[in-house]
Amino acid sequence: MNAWTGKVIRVNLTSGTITKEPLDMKAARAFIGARGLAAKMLFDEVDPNIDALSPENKLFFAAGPLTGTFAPNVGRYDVVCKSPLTGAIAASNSGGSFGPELKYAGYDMVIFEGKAPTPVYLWIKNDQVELRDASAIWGKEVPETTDMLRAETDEDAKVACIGPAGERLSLIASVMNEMGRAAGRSGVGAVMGSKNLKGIAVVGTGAVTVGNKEAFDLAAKDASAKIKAHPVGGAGLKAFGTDVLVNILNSVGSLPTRNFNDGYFPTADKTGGEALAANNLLRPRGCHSCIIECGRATKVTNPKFAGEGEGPEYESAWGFGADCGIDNLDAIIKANYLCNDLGLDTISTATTIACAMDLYENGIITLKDTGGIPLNFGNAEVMVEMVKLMGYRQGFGDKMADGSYRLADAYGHPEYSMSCKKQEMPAYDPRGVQGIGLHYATSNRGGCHVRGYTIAVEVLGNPVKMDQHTIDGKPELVITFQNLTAALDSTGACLFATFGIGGDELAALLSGATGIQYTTADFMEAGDRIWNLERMWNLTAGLSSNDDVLPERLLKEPIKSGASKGEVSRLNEMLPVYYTLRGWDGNGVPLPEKLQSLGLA
Amino acid sequence: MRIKYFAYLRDVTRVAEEHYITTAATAGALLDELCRRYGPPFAKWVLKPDGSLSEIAIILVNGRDIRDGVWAETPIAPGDDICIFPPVAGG
Repeated sequence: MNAWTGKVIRVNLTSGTITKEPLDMKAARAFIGARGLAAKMLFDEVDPNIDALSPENKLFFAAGPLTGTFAPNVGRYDVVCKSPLTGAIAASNSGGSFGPELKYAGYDMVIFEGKAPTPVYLWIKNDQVELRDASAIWGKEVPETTDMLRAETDEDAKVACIGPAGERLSLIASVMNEMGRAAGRSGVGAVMGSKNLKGIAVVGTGAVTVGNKEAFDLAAKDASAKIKAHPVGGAGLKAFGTDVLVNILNSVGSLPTRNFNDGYFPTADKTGGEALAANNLLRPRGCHSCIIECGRATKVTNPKFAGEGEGPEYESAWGFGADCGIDNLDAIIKANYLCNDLGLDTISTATTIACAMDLYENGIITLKDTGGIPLNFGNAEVMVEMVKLMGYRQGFGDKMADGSYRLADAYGHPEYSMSCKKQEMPAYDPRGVQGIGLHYATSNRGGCHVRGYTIAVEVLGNPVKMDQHTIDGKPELVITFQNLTAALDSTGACLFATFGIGGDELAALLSGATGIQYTTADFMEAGDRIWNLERMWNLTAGLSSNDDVLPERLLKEPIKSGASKGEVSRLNEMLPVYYTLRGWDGNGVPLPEKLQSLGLA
Repeated sequence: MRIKYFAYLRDVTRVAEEHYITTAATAGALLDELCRRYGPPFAKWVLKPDGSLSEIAIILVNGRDIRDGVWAETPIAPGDDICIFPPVAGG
């Protein structure tokens, strides 16, 4: 067996039984691994209509065939399940070293079923796999949990766990690994909490073998050289992190501001990557086999927000910054640290606070609702306090802990939630960047940027430039990016490797590693297959074209200031074209011939 | 006009923005002028080795990316806001 280890651990938490199964190699070849293969198994094993927080949901921790190899930037794994936030399929992707360590222990995937009667964690050391009591660890925040699990198992163990937010079934809870890396989106941490599963600790001393050593070596060297030679992958991300985008998006008028009430934040520069590098950066940090190092090890000395940890990346700096009308970078960083410690998704947490501020400023919620907390835009101290209250579901934080849609809906105004499929949108205003709006609306996991990052082309001009304000060619662009990313995620590679390499290089890496020939067309078709499988699962779960929408604000209220002033999203012009190009009918349902061509019929 | 500099460029210009008076009539001519003023440490981020404009540097005139139009030939005027980013990205 090459690239894949060929083994899966299945844990029935209800009965406490642990079994080891061979990997379905036919499925692995077609769906690659990680996101794609776990989605295929979820499709086969889990009824899409179950309650996501019931024991019937299953939770997959899945690495890809490239995960743990010496190719550049291949340290990732996916957490896959039914999302309690969206009702759609969830696949949250994280870096660090947890995924590679799982491979070195000899496994491609761990599947959790059922619900443990009392808190447990899973301890994996090569062939030895056991469930252990986690009663003494339950209630602890992520750093303490990680330290306790390492103390009980092995000081070199790689730990993935939930914090208080996941234990309290917050629908925006993340799974954290190695303290600062997050499988953040779609509430996967709540599913883990619903199963009384506090964490996984893993140590592996094996290796990942490759099928064609010479071809893999050449492909890895080629990919490394191209990433290093690229100005972005080779130097830019390391120097400034992803937060350097704050000034770019603000300058083109597409930095969502005050809960998407505007697209321009006059003092955004105080929160950008330049300010972060000048004032708070201790050192850049990379994941397993990373040659980019976009991660930020940072420190805040301001006593009001003091701390040391990881982050923020762009989405978090924007969410706790411009979207809340806040330009205090120390407060933004502190909010990011708290999310890491409590196990909360930074994007959904920040934008839920922004939504609450919008509701408050418009008189829909009052001091009586908030317990006396003035939730004005721009109030940095309150913003930080709300993160704590959300993580522990205390006071008004309890109502906010299930995300912006449920918060706004509870007060009769769901239109204040800046979300798609009830998951909060990230840091690019669809009124100023047309293609990303089409992606948000059609993303299989709801509001999300990383499954179709058209910003690379529409704003950054990488590898080519398209005008951000036009809709011409955008459906085609969105589909290409969605398919490419579905395949890339499934290998275990990092999205940022695409600042240097593309489908050709990824197909070459996959071919060398597995020993199975994947052309670039095969690779892209696998992405198309995965996208359509996820779509079919969502349709069976009850989602429809009625869910391929953006908040009305983005369709009707033009951006008020900045370079994109006057723009609205033209989603409704692009969506029918997208469906047709996808091979779907007018209701967004894949046509039989499309499914047949992908082997999904 | 007002010129704003970002990321590495601030290390060279020592200012985040400046008011600038020029006779340059196009974005390309302005970039040539700035490259002469700030020298190779500036030029390496916005020009390719052959001296033409980098395809992945982001240059905005009043918030509009010059690559979406006539690029180096984009006309500029005294009241314009110019933003210059070296090749950087995120996600």
